[in-house]
Order: sequence, then C-alpha cells, then structure tokens
Amino acid sequence: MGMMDLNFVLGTYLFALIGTVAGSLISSLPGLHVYNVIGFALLFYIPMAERFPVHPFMMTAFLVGMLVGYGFVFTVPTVYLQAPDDTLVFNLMPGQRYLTEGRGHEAVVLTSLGALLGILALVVLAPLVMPYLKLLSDLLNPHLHWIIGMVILYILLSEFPKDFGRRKKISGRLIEGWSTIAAGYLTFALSSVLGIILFTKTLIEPSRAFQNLMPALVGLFAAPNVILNLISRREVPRQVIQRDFDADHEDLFNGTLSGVLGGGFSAFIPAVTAGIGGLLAGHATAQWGDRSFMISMGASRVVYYVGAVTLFFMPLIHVRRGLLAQNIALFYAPETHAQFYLFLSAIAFSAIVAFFMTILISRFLARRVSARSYRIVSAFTFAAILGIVFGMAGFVGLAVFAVAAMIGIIPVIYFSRRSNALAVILVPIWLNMSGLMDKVVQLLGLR
Amino acid sequence: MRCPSCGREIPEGVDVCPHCGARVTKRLGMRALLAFSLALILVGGVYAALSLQGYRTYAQIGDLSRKMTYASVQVSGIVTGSPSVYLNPRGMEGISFTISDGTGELRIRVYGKAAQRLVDSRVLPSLGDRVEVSGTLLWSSAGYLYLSVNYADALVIREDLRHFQELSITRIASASPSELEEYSMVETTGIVTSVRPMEYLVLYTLTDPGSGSSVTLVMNGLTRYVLGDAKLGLGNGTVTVRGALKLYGTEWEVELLTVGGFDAPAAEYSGSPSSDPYSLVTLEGVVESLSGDPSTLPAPFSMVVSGIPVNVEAYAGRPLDLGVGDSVVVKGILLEGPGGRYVEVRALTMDGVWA
Repeated sequence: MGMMDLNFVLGTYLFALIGTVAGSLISSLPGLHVYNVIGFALLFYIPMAERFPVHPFMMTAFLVGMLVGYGFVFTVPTVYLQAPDDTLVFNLMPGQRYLTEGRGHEAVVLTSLGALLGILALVVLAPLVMPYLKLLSDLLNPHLHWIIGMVILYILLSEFPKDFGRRKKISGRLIEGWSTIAAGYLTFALSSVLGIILFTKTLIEPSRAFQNLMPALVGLFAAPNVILNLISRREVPRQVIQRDFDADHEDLFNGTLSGVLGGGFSAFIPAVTAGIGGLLAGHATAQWGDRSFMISMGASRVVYYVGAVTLFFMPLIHVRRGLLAQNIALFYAPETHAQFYLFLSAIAFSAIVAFFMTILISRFLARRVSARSYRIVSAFTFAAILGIVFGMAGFVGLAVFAVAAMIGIIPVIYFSRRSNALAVILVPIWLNMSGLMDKVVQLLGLR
Repeated sequence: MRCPSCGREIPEGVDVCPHCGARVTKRLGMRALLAFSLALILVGGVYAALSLQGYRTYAQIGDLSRKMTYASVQVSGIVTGSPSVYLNPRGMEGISFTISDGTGELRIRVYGKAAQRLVDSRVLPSLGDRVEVSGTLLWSSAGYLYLSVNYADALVIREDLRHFQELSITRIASASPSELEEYSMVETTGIVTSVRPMEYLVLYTLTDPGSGSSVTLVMNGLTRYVLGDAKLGLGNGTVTVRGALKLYGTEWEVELLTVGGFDAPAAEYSGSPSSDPYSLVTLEGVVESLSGDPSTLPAPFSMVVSGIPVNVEAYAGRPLDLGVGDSVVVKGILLEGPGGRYVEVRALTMDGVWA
C-alpha cells in the first residue's frame, strides 16, 4: 500500500474515532490502564488477525485512538476520583490541590491542553527529527546501560528533598522524615526483586508471556489508589465550571517544552516510562509553578505513549518502544512514508476528539463528583482490574498482582514517590544491559 | 465579583484571587483552545494529503550526494545492473539491482517483506527495464549511496515499455560492440547446448542449429532464486528466449528477463537409448557396475545400467543407497561421446535417479 485512497483514509479516521471514544470511556475509570484493555483485546484479535475483515492498519488506528484517548482522559479520574484529605493539601499534586479549591475542571483542562500541545509538537516534529533519530539511536545504543543507570540514580536521589518532620522532638522529626525516604527505598528494593523474578522466571504460561509484566504493573500502580479510594472518607468541595482558565502563553510554552522533552526522553530510551518522563518534566518545571507543571504532565504523558508508537511507524527506524508498539508488531509491520503520515494525521484527529471528550467528561463529573460516587466507581474498577488480570494471566497472575499491590501501597501510606516502583522494569533491564543479571540472579538464588 | 476559577467572592479590581491564587485577568479563553485545535486540524489535514499523494522528491541520480542521506527520493532509469538476491539462513533478505538515468548509476535495495511481495507477485525488474522507484537514500559502509526501498509499491516496472527486437543468434554473435544497443531488449531462438551453474548465476550457451553460431545466455541470481530448480536446460529442444543485450568484453550476451525470459517446451523424458542425441530419455534396468559412491552426493558418480553408461553430475539428485544388481530408473539426456552414447543426469533439471 503505497498510495492511499480516500476511502482508506476515511476508514482510518473512523477506526481512530471509535478507538478514541472507547479509550476515553475506559480511561474515565480510575486505575484501569488502557494497555491492559488493549492487551486483553489483542489476546482475541491476534490469533485470528489473518481472517479478521478489518485491515491491520485500521486496527492499529483503533488501538492508537484508544491510547490517545487514554492519554487525555486519564487526567479526569486522576483529578476527580483520587480526592485528597484537606490536611494533605500541601503535599498534593497540583491537580488534586485544584480539586480542593473547587477548580478540578480547570486542572483537567490545563492538563489536557498540555496533552493537545504535546500532540501538536509531536506530529509537527516527528517528520523533522526522523532523519536524525536513527543516528541518535545508533549513537546512544552502546551507552544505554549507564544512561538507564543514571535514571535509576536520579530516582533514588530525587527522593531526598522532603518537607516532613513537623514533630516537636528532633528524634520524631528524624524518624518522620526518614520514614518517607526509607519507604521509598523499600519500594524500590522490593519492586526490583519482583522485576528480576518476573524477567527470569516464566511464572505466566508462555502463550501469555507477552503480558508477563502486566499483573505486576497493575498491582504496583493501579491497585493502591483504587483500594485507597474504597476505604477513604473524604469530602469533595463543590466544583466550578470555568469559562476561561488561569494560564498564559508563557505557562503554555514552558509546560509544553518540558513535557515534550521529558516525554520524548522516556519514549526514546528503553525501560524509561511516562512516570520518569513526568518526574523529569516535573523537576524541570517546578520553578515555574503549578500551571506549567500540569501542562507539562499532560504533554509528557501523551508524548511518551504516542511518541513510542510513532517511533515504530517511522520508516527505517521502526523501533518497538512501549507495549502498544510491541503488540502491534505481532500482527502488523508499517513500511511507508504514506502510512507514517496517515498515522500522524489519525493521531491529530484522535487528539482533537479526545481533548473535547475530556472537557465534556470533566464537566459531567465536576457536577456529580462526591465521596460516594467515586467509591462506587472504584469498586467497579477494582472488579474490572481483577477480571482482566485473571483473564490474561490466570491465578498466577492474580498472585503476582497481589504481591505487587502490597508493594504499591507502601508509597501511598508513607507518601513516598510512586516512581520508585518503576524499578520493576528499570532494574532488570539495566542489569541485563550491563551484563550483571546472571550474577544477581545467582545471588538471589533464582538459578 | 466572583473569582473565575474557584467561584468565591473577591473584591472588585483585584488581579489575583485571595482564596485560590488564580489570576483574574490574563486568562486563557475557549477561543485559544479552539485555535490550538484548529492548528492540529491543519497539520493533520496536510499529513492526510501527503499520505494520499505518497511522499516523494524527484531527483536525478547525478544530483544525489552523501549530504542527502536519509532523504526520501524518487528516481527513474534503466536497470543496468543485474538483479540479485540476498539470502540469509532464514531465507530471502532482499533484492538488489542498479539503475542508470544517464546522469549516474544508483544501487537499489529492496528489503524484507517488500522484497518477498515482489517475488510472490512475480513483478520483478529485469536488465534493461525502465523503472521508477522511491525510497530512502542511505550511505553504505562500503562507501556508496544506495536507495533503500521498504514497500513493494515503491517500485514501478514499466513492462509496457519493453519492446523486443527479433534477432538471430548469428546476428547477435557477429555484431561488433557499436552495432547493437546495450540494454535493448531482444528475442531470439536456439537450442541450449551447455549449462554452467556459477555461484550466483547460470550461464547457458544458446546455439543456432543451422549456422552453428552461439551466444551466451545469462540467468541472473534473482531468476535462479525465483525459478527454484532451473527449468531451462539441455534437451529442452528449440527455445525462444527474451532478454536484454549486455556487453561482456567485446561480445554480446543476452540476460534473460527475470520472469518470462524463455518459452521452453516442457521436458518429456520419452526417448530411449536409440533416440537422437540430446533427447530426454528414461532408462530402466539393473546396475551392472558402479564407480563412485551415490550415498555421498553432491559428489558425482557413474554407472552402467543395462549396457548404457550413465554419468550423474554433482548435485544432481539426493543421496542414494545404491549397489550393483539394484534396479533403477534413470531420467537424463542422451549424449554422444568418443566412447559412444551415454546418458547424463544433470543438476538443475528434472533429471534424476530412482532406486
């Protein structure tokens, strides 16, 4: 397929639209990662892809639409359905602080505006940087092990600056301050061990092995907040639907720039995920305040997720970064410039749909959000997560999920950084790349 | 007055809300959001148009330089370098050939699935073909530019521009280098009188039975790969071949079209030891003597079957557990040598020995 015809282009848009709407609705539920849903769908699609009446490119457009929808709408449950306690207002992410001020909708709009600008930057820049990415990739590949090592070091060191320790006694302040840091390092250590076990042992049967890490990721990142929502007692103040928003062009530029850089870095470097991209972008923009922080978070998330798949569609590069690219590679291999441009066009189209869906869903929720409503939604989500984990990975998957959830709840209880749990991916990949995996595996008695 | 962000009462004229810290002026309106969306629509539209047209930059080969590495270009020209195939232990890796547009020559490499699609569709370039091809310009570590092609449709072979000039073997064999045009397409007729499998190519001698003149036929590596066992060989009778003229030193050769380069009657092994030489024969009988070890193919061996000598060429068949006194069926070509008639079982044909 070199030359595209108009029907094919329109068909691609249609599938991207369906994917975006589906992804947006799924992402409205807190804690349900679109990768899990995509993986679940592909479990059925891939075995019969050859006979499926849908062209694989359109299936790809559908999946990318879901991913774009997720990248935008994920902000909504993050802001509305992880409602914080008043006393924690100074330790919250800006989005949650906005919610306590009745500005949840504004937080959602600013974050998704960041995502829109992130996508705009991505689709404009992708063809321009494409000729240099292959060179950059060749240049970086021999050095990835120490780059990832530096990222790990960055995560560990960035745990330090904490503002806890308000007790009167010095010992009390010491314990309070260090308990957070210790919890962070404990999370890091346990996640690393879990990751090493999952990378070296085939716990999940080989036919489902491409979902090997899924139960752990869901347990570490999705389950803790859902569980917390189920047991918490919080009040959400009345929300305002704003007609205009507190941001200027400087905020937009700074936020988008740092988000695109952070997201781009994590999309390009293997094992580095959106969480790290967000962390980098967050640190880069901390001095510019909440507004650019939220914009950068929106931008870094979509640039990471969508950028990773974009690398796969770039002619001559075809790097498989991120779970979606790896899954698409199981049934489709993009080849042409024409496909690449149609892919970017479908992303742009999906992003516009997702942006306005985010605003609509946010307006809907802003009027209705209450402690009771998010507990019901959380219960439903928890059941859905359990069902998907069981469906994809069976009882062993549920066991891995339970262990991961117990590790994942540590940062929630001790207010340490959640990014420490990313050690589940970073550490095993870093060990593999630096040739240390065998020694560590022997040391842990796994072989 | 209410704060436009948190909705609480604020004094008139303040710039910042005392409750939530939001700016009351210098705010972003819906119009700005729509403007950003419109920008994205425009970019998406441009990309859709690019995908509809394909993406290409026409170029003359002479204008290409190393500075253009990674550029997407489209070039057109005549195939002047024989199409060949790259193989690896897993199968075909790609197809390669060279084109010239009068300003320079450029190597074209078609990779992976695109190459497999070309082979499957049997739409393959031949020497002398006019082609239009788009791809990405790359610099080889061996120090030359080449065009990397990643999809089958990027190669358009103008089969409609093939015009075959009918020339006799005698005319081709006697022509001086300046008398004929290199890479022009010709059609000629003769009998295959020798087959020389090389590492990548197969060289044939095509002889005019009337005048005894002969010309070398070249089957390129890609054709050999596509055909599998070569179906052109000794004993096919009179064959009509089509291909492009090519100079080898001062002699003209004909390189066969990659697909459809010859019309050869289907080989029928209906002859007997008393038929005319060059007939394809089937010989059934008992092995009377044996020289060489048939179980160690690809080594050649010879035997006498019911009084007729049989020579089996290297690579002509599978290892056999064969001994004196065994019954065999031999299919091969009847030849005449100083010692009388014998049957030759040839490689790259349908010949064979069955115990």
